[in-house]
Amino acid sequence: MNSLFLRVSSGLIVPIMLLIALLLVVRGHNSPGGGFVGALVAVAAISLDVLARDVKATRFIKSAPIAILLGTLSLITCIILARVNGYPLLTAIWYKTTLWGYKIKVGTPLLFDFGIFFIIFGSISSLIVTLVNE
Amino acid sequence: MDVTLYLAIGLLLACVLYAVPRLITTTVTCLYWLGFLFWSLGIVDFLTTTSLAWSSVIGITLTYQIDGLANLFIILISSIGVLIFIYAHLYTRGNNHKRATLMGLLQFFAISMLGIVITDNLLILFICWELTTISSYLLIQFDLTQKEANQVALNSALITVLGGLIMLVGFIMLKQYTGSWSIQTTISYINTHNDTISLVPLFLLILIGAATKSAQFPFHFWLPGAMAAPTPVSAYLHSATMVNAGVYLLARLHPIASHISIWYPASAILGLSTMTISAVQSILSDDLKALLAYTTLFVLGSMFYLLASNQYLAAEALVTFLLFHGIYKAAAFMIAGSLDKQYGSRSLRALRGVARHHIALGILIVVVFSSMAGLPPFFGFILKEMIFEAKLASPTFSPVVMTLSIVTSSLISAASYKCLYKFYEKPNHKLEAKPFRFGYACPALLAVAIVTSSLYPASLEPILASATNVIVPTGTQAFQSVTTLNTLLLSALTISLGLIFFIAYMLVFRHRQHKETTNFRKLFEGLVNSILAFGNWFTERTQNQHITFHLKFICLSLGLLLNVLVINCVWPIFSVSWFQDIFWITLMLSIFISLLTITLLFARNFIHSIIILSILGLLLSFIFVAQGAPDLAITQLLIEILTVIILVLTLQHTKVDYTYTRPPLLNIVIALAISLPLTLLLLYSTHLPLNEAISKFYLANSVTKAFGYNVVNVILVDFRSLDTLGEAIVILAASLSTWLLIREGIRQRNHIRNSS
Repeated sequence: MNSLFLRVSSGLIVPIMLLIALLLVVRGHNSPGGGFVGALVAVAAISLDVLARDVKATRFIKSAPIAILLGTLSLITCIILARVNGYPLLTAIWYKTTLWGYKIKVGTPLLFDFGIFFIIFGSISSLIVTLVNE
Repeated sequence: MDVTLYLAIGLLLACVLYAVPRLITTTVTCLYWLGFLFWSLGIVDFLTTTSLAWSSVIGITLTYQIDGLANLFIILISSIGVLIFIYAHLYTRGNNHKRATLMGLLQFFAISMLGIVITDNLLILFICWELTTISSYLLIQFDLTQKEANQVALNSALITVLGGLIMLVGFIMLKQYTGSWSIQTTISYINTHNDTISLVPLFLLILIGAATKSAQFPFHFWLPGAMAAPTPVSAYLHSATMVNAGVYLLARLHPIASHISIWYPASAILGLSTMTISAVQSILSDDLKALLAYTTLFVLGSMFYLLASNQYLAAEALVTFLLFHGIYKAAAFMIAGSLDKQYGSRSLRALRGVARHHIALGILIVVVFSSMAGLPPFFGFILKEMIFEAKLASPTFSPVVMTLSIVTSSLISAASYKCLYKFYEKPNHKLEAKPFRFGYACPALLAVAIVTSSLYPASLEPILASATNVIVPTGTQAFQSVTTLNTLLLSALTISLGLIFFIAYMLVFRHRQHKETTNFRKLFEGLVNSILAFGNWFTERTQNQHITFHLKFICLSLGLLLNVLVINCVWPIFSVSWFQDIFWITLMLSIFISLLTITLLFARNFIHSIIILSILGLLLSFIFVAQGAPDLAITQLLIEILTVIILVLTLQHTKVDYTYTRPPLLNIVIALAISLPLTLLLLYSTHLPLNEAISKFYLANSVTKAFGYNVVNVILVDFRSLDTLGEAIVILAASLSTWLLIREGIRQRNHIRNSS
């Protein structure tokens, strides 16, 4: 595909889609979304970019292994953090702090969701990039 | 320092050796093993043996039993290990890649062998047992380009793994009987509970394990085959590790021997048959390493025969044999390796006269091979005396056994004479030696050890006596080596018979090219191949390549089952009112989806059908929205989009033309047979009373306990995060394998394109 319209608009749409993916992951705990859905949106963004440019998709070749590595690391961190704190593996740990007057709760479920996000993203985007490069 | 930690450091060292094949890492490894050596000799006491619970649920605890027997083996493994590491370092000079692999694997091998001899837990023993099998497999097929090495490595691995598994069954039965994985508890339990009957099958299973590892007849053929390994590996495998594991296990369990009626006969028969078959082969071999391998087999057979005795003398002879055989066999193998390196051949024919002009090498060869032959000034002679004494006092003693052992020992002596003779024979061409610096340093050290132990046999006594007391715990006799007139006569007879055999060999076989008789090996390989052939035949008959055929078969059986279920259970209670509760938007969408599905049947090509399928998916996500499941709807939507992309990307490369043809009647029948009952079942399921407790639990706890308002997400990442983790791993594995398949496909296509 070599369409000028697609090429120009993809430059605008792709970053927005990636942002939306991030948003979906972050807010997933309270509203529709989550790591899996976020990853799918991000993969859709990448496929749009890859398809619109009609060139060898060199831009994302390295992103998949990095994403898988990041995902595995964050999942392992989640597993180990519970053990370190003396709970059974994978137990959710929450840290509550107050920042500029806002109550903020940060927990391992968010990290877990990011782990899922990265693994799914890495897996499927690697597939698409390989197929396009074929 | 704890032993467990020290072992872990050893394993780490294996990785370091693999990464940095330098002199410094070899030095560190040697220091590591010297640490073990000094510890077991009692010179430095820096290791503690606290037990560590690994998995208490199934009773695996890392407990250690460091007694005389374990100490003897630690001394063997570590002292010969140090020399082997030095030798391997010299052997692989100038080839860092080879050195990295060899040293790393050797270290792994040595650590796992050490694990066998110091653990008190049967399961840990089994694990280390199999680790030695795996590492020896990798070491034997070290040269990947040699098909022969690959085959013999596979043979050895198959035999020892099978034996190990059979032995595991025996261990489990032992645990069932005694209720403990600990070897010491097991021994004391059996010694206090006298049930002789139930132990026989169990013992036979363990004996098979020990016999396969120690290469007893009829599993003996893997050991001569294993000489395909690099010589440092052979030297270590034959002298201190691997093959001694079976002997160790039987020696360790020997205190319960008197409670098992068939222990003595079974062990004696195994030992004697191995001795016989190996002694004949060793004198006929021309390859130096093969000759040495057959003498190892003979030694192992003798050890098994010595284990078939409850006498203190036999145990004494056994431990002495273990130590001494380790020393001279390692030396002999190293000499063979150095000669091979220098003269490019292992054939005795080609190595004729190598010792003629090198006095130092000549002395070295004389010391090592006379020890092997059991000639008087050396310790081998005392050893032979001890063995004869033990055999005379053995409960399985008979004139036949005595004759057999004298004849076989003479044959082994004759093989040693043959080596000595060949090394001093006048060569028929000038020998040209490549340089191999320090190639004889390690065997020379071992020769010094032989001479020293021959001069001061008393220095070894404390070690050997404490090991003997473990094998035969009742005897508290002092270690003794009495040379009686009887044994002296027997020794003289052996030496002279050996000479006669040697002369006979020189007269008869001298100019005849001996062909290796590997009947058992051929039999075994034939067995393995026929199993593989049967598997191939069976697969070809049942699994033909047509995927549609398989799908039809699966779907038809599924349809039959579903129809039986629906006609029996659902149909009698079916009512039209089931349709009335469906939300009208859902109903409309369903009708639309059904219509679209029918058009799918008439699609012209792949792209058409993909487009229709994706529209179907989008409509499905609308149904989810209508039912109030936004998470599901988003996921469905995105999956549909990505599926289209991936399908189009995949199909654009396929050359398959898709033209519309009317589907055969059978396909329509199959489709209806599945879809109709499935529809009814789904309808029925919506009218089943749900167990509300689960959903109520999640709804009640997701905010209070997991701090999240999106219950679906909270379930995914918190309540049931293990499931999610599993799914992520599945997706990762699937994508990795798909990626590999695609890459392989591309490579093959490029290959075809390049070649055409």
